[in-house]
Amino acid sequence: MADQGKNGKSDSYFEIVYEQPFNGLHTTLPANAIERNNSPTFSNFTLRNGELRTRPRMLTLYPFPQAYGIPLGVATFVDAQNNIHTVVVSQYGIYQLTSGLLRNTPNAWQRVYAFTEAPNITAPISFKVSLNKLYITFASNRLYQWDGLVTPTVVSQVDNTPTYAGSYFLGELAFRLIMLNTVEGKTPQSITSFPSRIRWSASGNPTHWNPSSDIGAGFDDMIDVPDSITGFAAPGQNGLVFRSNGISEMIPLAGGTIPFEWNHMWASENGIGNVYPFSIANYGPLSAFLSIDNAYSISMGGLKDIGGKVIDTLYKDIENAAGAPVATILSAFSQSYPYTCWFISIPLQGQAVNYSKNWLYNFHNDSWETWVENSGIITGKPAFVPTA
Amino acid sequence: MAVNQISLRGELGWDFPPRPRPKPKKGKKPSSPPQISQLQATASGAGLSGTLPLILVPFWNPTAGLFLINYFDTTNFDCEEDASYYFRMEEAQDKSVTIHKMILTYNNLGQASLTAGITYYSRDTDQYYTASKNIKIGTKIPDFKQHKTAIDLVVTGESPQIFITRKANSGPVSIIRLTIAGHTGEGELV
Repeated sequence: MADQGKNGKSDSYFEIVYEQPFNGLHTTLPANAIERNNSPTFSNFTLRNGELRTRPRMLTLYPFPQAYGIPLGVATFVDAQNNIHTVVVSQYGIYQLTSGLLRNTPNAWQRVYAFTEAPNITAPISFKVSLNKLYITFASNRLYQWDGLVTPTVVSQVDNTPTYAGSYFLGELAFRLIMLNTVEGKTPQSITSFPSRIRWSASGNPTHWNPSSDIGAGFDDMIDVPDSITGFAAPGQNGLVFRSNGISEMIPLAGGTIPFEWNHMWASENGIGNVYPFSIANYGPLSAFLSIDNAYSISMGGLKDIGGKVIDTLYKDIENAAGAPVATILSAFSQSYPYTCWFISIPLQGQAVNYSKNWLYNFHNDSWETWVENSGIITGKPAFVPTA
Repeated sequence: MAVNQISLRGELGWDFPPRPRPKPKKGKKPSSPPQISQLQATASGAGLSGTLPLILVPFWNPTAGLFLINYFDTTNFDCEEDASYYFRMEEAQDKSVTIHKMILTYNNLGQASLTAGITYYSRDTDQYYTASKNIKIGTKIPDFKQHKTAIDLVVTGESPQIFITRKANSGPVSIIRLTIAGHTGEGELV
């Protein structure tokens, strides 16, 4: 800061300019050791376009009736008759938005289906849209299919007993719907977990899961690795199966009775893997996850450490979480506000009520910021709803 | 797909194709875009439709006892929560500095109130102190241009750290640059 003054003494005039690029939080070094364009702490400012701008205001689109339960996930799809459905899943059932209502209209949601069992609300709700139908699973032995026209049905019978399956994670690869870390049983009350099992449907038919009746369906237990499945991403031709201590490539083959093979990037007992099932998020070729030691992104270029500047503070918040955090990668907040970021929402205990501390990682400028919402907590993954 | 022209287009102030806005009559204020409260679900089915996507956020407000489906309004940066930004703590080889001026350059998004301040350390008392000033920026009708304001705070101490804080609902703030000026202390390190 000091230069030689005109008298040769160290009294000197100085100026310091803080301007773009603002590079976000840096909490792993002392406040006087970070770069000038980093900050040791800030909240509810966003760093887009070289500005420090207060974040967008959160508003209510529609209330969700308390009697319908906790909204755990939002999804949207277009059915075979070109109707758009905006769907919310709670622990009680599946609800869709009624058409033609003004913002904040109460009773905007109509029940489509009532669950006979409650979802495990500490596990993520998994959605997948395939062939104009919405598939929903949430770690019970149920995979629901809804075509938007008739009542949702359970479509995951896996043997002739009959046994049904659901899973923690849902994916799509090589024309097949994939269930990972499955939960199976004859009834929702008598279930067995298979944390290393991957099931795939018949090719082009997500309702056929029984290998006895359709040779295209099948399953595999990844017994050659010591850990359980904690997520899935399909960044391209191959899938990535995330485990707590590793990552495996799921490679489609030509077909037949074994349509996939697996390449374990590493199969050791300790290694980089996704330890928090809620944290995995993907967007095109990009995936992000939280390992035991750091936050990583994985893409065509390989693995990249992205948590270095904030990892202590981020993990402290996760350790203190008052409920299940949720994470997703958002490509934009609206058409005029593209902002590709990994959005991790952590519920924390406040003095009076629980509140949300949301960590955002900006992939373009490798920066972290936090958005705090004191009025409550985010209960499911935010969903980008393309309205056309 | 049936394309329903959702009112969001007009709410965010632009149309396909762009239409010139009617010129306001003399003595009357120019009309503002329709408010976001006119957002509605207009799909022929049951979902949101139109040309503008949204991020839907499932939310629980325990104080009000409400479950909500929220969204972030990217046309409105008047955040409903407190906001704060702390700059790097500066050092002058462990010498005391005097800061006598700050110039804030901001994007005029509308009227806003904020607090600009400096925390600094006194070795004599081994304590940190804070000096701050409340300021108002922006104009009632935003022009989205860069404006500047001077903040006359004079503090002397070690390890100065500038901060900006803003109370909830105090208007949208967009900082482009902050310049501080001062002098370092005389003589050798003591």
